[in-house]
Amino acid sequence: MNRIPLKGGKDVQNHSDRFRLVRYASYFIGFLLFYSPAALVLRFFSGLDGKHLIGNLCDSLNLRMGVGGLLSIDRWQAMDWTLGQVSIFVVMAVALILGPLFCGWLCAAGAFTEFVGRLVPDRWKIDVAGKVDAGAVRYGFLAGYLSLPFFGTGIGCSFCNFRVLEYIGLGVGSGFLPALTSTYIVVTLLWLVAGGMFMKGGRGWCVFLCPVGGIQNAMHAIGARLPFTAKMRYRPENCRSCGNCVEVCPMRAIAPAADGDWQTSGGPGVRISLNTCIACAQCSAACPHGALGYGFGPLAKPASATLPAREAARS
Amino acid sequence: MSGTAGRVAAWVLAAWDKARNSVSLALFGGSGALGAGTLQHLAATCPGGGCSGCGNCVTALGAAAGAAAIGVVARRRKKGPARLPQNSEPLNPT
Repeated sequence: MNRIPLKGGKDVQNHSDRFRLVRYASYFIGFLLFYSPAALVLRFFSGLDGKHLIGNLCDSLNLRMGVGGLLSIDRWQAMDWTLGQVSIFVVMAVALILGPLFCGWLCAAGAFTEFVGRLVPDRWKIDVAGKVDAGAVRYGFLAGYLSLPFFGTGIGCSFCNFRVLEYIGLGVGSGFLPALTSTYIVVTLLWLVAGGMFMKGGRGWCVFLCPVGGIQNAMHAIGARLPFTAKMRYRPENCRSCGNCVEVCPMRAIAPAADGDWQTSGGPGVRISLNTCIACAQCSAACPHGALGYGFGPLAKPASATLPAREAARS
Repeated sequence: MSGTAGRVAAWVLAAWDKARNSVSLALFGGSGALGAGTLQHLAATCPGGGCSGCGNCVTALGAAAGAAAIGVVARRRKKGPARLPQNSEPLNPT
């Protein structure tokens, strides 16, 4: 297993590694709760009224209709507002107030590629941290994804890693392996191979292509600017720019800041992208100086917002 | 009135200049999603002679190509300030 070397001694390394194991355990619980064949949450609600589908959360979204259907009030009124539809709004509300916790703590599809990515040495991987505006790409992909029904092609369900992981899970038990056919091959290659094994952090699919993650981070990017919401909070006065957080971030959401952006204890500090951070708090576990933590409160404002600080840094 | 319009135009241009890189990347992302959706549509309907000739694939692929083309144009124009020709005189000669 590929280990990410950290600065700050053995204690920091061990703490970070243990925290990663806790995260993986949480993702496994998420797998049992939300994914077939267990899908305990859906089974619970199904047991309550015998009506809800046993399957994934998106199956009942029923967006497979063309422009006419989307613009027809009758069609929307006729839709069965089941758990699948309600859950989308629950996930969005949670992301707004508490951050994208589903991605950070429960999504087994993202965790699976992150885990697979650790089997490949980092020197073979592409690192996009601070190099590509991942938020722009993922929101663009999300916009295209959501616009698909307007082109009559239906929502791209088979282009969802959630669905593929479910089929793999089902296939292990029943021998049913549609993941080996048609478009699932493309998705699996992009999700597991291109996004998982050969992108640093192992979450290339999550960073650029996951529509559910895109929706959550769009909500988080709005919510995190409100002072009463929870988010990954940065304390630049504690930061010594060791770079541990940059190394361990699976979403590559943390990048070194520009000189003069922050008043730190040493070095330029870091910037966290609200468009890709999933509040998994792995950065917090790897930070030896307590500069990062998940909690409620306002976002730290860069010192470079004031001109003298930037000028001082340049001179 | 014209002053306000000018300021608004300048603000729009400055905002566009600042956001151009992100917008072009977003267009590439949108293009990818439309292409992927078209592939799914084709995989779901075409095998076994199931094509009904609805033309949705052409529409979606056209939109994908259009978005990608606009993205490429937006990116190509981001190559910094135009340089003076080699034989031109410097500005504000003293």
